[in-house]
Amino acid sequence: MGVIGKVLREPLVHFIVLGAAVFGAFQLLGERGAPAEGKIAITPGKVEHLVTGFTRTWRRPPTAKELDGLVEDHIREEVFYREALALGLDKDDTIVRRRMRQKLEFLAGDATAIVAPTDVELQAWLERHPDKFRIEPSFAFSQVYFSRARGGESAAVVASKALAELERTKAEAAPPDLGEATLLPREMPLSAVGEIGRVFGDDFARQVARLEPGRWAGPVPSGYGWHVVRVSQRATGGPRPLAEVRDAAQREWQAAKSREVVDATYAKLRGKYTIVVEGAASP
Amino acid sequence: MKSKTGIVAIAATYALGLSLPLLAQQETTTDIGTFDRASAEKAFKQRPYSPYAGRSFPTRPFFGDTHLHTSFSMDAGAFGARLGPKEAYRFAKGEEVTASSGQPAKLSRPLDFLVVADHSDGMGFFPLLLSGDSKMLAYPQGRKWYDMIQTGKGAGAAMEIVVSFSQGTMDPGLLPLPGTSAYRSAWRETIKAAEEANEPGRFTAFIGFEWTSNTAGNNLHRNVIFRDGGEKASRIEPYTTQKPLGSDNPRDLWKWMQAYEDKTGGELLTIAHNGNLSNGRMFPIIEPGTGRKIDREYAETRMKWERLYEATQIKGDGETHPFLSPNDEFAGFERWDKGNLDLSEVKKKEMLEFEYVRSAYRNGLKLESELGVNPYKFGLVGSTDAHTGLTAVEEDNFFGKTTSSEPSPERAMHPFIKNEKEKTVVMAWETSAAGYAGVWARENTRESLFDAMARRETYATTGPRMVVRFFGGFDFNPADAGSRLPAEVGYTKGVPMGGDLLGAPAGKSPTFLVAALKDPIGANLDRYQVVKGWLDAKGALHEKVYDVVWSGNRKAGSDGKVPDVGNTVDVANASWTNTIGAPELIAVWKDPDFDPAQRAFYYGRVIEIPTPRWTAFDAKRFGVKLPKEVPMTVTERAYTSPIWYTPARR
Repeated sequence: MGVIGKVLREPLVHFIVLGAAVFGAFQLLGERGAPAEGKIAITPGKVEHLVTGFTRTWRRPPTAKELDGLVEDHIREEVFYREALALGLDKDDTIVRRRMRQKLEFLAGDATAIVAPTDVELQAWLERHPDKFRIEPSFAFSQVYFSRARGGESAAVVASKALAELERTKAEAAPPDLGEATLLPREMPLSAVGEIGRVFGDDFARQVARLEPGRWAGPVPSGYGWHVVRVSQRATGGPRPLAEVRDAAQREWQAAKSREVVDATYAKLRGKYTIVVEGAASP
Repeated sequence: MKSKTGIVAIAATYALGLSLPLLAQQETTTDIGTFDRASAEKAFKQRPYSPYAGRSFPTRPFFGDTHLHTSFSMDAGAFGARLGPKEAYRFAKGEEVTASSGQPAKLSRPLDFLVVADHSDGMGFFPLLLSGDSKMLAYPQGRKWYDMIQTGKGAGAAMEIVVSFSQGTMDPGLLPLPGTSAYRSAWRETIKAAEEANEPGRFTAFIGFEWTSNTAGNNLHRNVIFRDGGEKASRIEPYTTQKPLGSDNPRDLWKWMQAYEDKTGGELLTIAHNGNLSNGRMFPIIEPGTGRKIDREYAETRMKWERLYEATQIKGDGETHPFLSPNDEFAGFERWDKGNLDLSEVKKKEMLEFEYVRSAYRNGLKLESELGVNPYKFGLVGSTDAHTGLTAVEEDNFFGKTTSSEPSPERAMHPFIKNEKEKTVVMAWETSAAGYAGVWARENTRESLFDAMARRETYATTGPRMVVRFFGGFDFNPADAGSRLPAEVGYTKGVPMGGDLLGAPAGKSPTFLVAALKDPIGANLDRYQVVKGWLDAKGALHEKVYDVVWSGNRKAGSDGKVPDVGNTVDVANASWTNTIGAPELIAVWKDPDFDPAQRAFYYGRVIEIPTPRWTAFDAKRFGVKLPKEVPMTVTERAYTSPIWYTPARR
């Protein structure tokens, strides 16, 4: 894609062009002067707009009588609106102010919705936000389970003693008769932290994730009891490939971009003003 | 479907290196030579040294919901559900979503799979009505309901819609029916949401729908689940109950399912639910509508498609009823027995026998002895049937049956179903925060999970994600319970839940390796029971519940029953402690009353210690006081699919 194409796809450019058009229109109007004080014109375009609005709500076009009512109501609104503006009632009205701000923010933010990011842009965005879409770290481990007190010693103490023995003998594999029989897997193949959590509970999974591989450690508590654990393998997580997460990433990218554009627009507009904070308490 | 499963089972037997005494002593001459034991052993490797290598049996259960409604279901939309299938799958995957009532909702941990099963009749009705679709507003009823919703009378509109639908007074032109573009687009959206959410190995999003046969308010509802992806599912449109396109007769649904399989080469199964609201019609002996005793064809067809039954869900538990099982202290759990679905007909005691799982299993034995086929040889799952797009049935995170019963201070005291004429009412506090399906599949994919459901290797839980094993065979011995690899022993020496035992060897009784592990973040376990039912020589049916293994040092009484486990629930604080019960239970049990000539079934039931019910969490969090009759504790449980014993033919 050429430079011009790239420039044309840039949301900020859209906004500026759009903005220029809006401001330009106001300026033109300004030069020609405000609409004549005493004239309210009901153009065919206006009538069509009223008819469309009615049809959208009521699922049918208005009758002639209803249309008269619509037009009359529109004139009434216009009269009050102009008089209210003349009296300055739009000033210092919280609702009007918020609505105006919202309109401009939407206008700025919306511009990004029509722009689709390229793969390069998305890839760069993924790299800057590694936590949004990542592969969880994985671990493989062996565990020996203790839940019952034995000979007056609590399960935790029994587990600690078993651990000391494993450390002393520098055993890689625990003797098959160590610990209690359990439905919990004694060998957990390489599994993501979330998967480990589903079997043993999330607290247990978080603790296992902190263990140093290649040695027996613990005892680690779980909802079931105590476990002496040896992590044998660890795979660090990382960002997921773009192809897997493209749609979701694009939604996030657009949302983020929209916020950026609104902020940038605000910064630019704010630059036009001199801000004076009067009577601010000195520190 | 069945033959494929059979071949897999045989292959698995070989792969596990089982000795097959009958086969092993034989030689068979084929056109490529003599096939004897030695050559067979060469072809099928000996067990490897490593006990973990080449393991092909399921090592952990996958948890999910086979029955969730979204705004695409007409009644769900009427009650204000605005979340569609997309949001439903996102929520099940563990993401936070905004519920239709405007509050944030998230599961304690993701589920492994979900079936969005919206009602096929009127699928997509609400999204269409709300958008003011001109075709719908062309009908006086549609115009009226739309105006009611627009003017803030949505609740009234919802009631009229549901009543006119269930009573059949809705203008047929209003129902989006198969063949119309509106219907097609709703089905396409459903398929699209599942295709997008499906991540083989991580999360399974099944395509499905509910066929809601509800003539005169009698619940014969069934969910239809596809093994297939969108390519096949989009070649049809769901089967409905409205004539002439559809039918309210299950036999016609089965015909439609057969036609789908013939046309696409795909596979379907169906799961019925809420027999408790069918007023004696879910597991019949006399076929409703015909007045005739069910025949062999009915039995065969039903068993081909109805591989599972949803035994527990928000609208009550379906295992058994105290009237049917007077000697079972744990019967009568989360009971709904006032009438049929709309309470238009009150319950009579003689209906109960044809509504509950255990009595259906019993009658199935008898029917099998008469017809040669057991029509009620189904496995068990639990699911939610929530109409919120949220599969949220943890007691402390219950989002209710409908959008109007999402968490709020008043929700427990709303009448849930009311019939003025019969003067009966079911209150919202009677809804049960249940359940989920546990599926023993090898991997988390549509194919693997579906095949496990088809072979009934499943169990129902009322919410907690406990791990439950149940193996039957003739050779388990007490030492097997102490094995380091109980599952390995189970699969090697027996059959898993959902399986069959045929013809006991002389002098032997069935033995069972039973084991349960509590939910990693849940409550301890009280006991593991085996429920047995059998048909005696005189043709009479019996049942018995055996306490097999339990926590602590409790002693069974002279009647074999183990005393109560106790109760640590602090209702005011909605809390409990795991100071009673056991995190894990495992044992081998041998049937002490076995007669090899009598048909029987056995299934496992695991009982948790008492915990606070969802009503207790409501009372605490909203600071409301609920009347005395509202239960504040619950004993959660799991039911396994049975193992059936059939005598050898003489």
